[in-house]
Amino acid sequence: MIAALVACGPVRLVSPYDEALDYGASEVHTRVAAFVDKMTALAGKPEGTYAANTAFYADLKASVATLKMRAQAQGKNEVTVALVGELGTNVENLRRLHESSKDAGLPAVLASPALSAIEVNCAAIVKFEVAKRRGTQE
Amino acid sequence: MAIDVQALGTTMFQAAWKELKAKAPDVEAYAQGEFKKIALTIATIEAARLRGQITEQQATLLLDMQKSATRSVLLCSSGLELLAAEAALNAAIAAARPVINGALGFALV
Repeated sequence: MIAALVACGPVRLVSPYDEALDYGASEVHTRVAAFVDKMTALAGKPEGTYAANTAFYADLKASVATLKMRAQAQGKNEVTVALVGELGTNVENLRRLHESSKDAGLPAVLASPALSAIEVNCAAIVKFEVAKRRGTQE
Repeated sequence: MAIDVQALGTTMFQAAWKELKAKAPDVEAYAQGEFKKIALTIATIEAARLRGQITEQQATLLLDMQKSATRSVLLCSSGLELLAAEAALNAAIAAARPVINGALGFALV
């Protein structure tokens, strides 16, 4: 059995490192952080309302969908697919939060805990991807 | 009643750690740090709700977001566990290499 295993090269239980997922999750985080910062400053103004910013959510959801498609394209990548799914869930929750506050926009009291959660989502994707590159735990 | 952030973070971590300890002991610092952050965020949500700054619906959405964040920490930890198992398996195979090659009389591995 060992001979059969070694004859096939290193055993892979997890897909290899994917730079596109690493950078993609980091980029989503950058965009969300910048958006939340901007929305916090614009809270209560017409430019900060959900209606004035729906395009951002459409773009962001498209980016996350692309990340998910990329993750799904590789075998043995179930964990990353689930992690990207969690990110997508929270992007939608952020959108719903913004929508719920109507003319108030996205004040810090809503934005800060929402951003904190999305940071954890993105950090988990990046951490796991980096660990795949190193092939070791930290 | 205000949430005790320290106690909540510790409770969350300890519950998860029961499952993770045997399988992925190296993720302790990561999981502990992330659960502390999540506990702190839950406390700020509770405080905002008590002050009437956010609606019940918004509080629910924000708590759902923290649940998703928690799932991400656990998923990442389980992934790191898989990577550790993979490394251990490959290390075992590498250790067996001289024995296998020696027994066969040629460099199979």
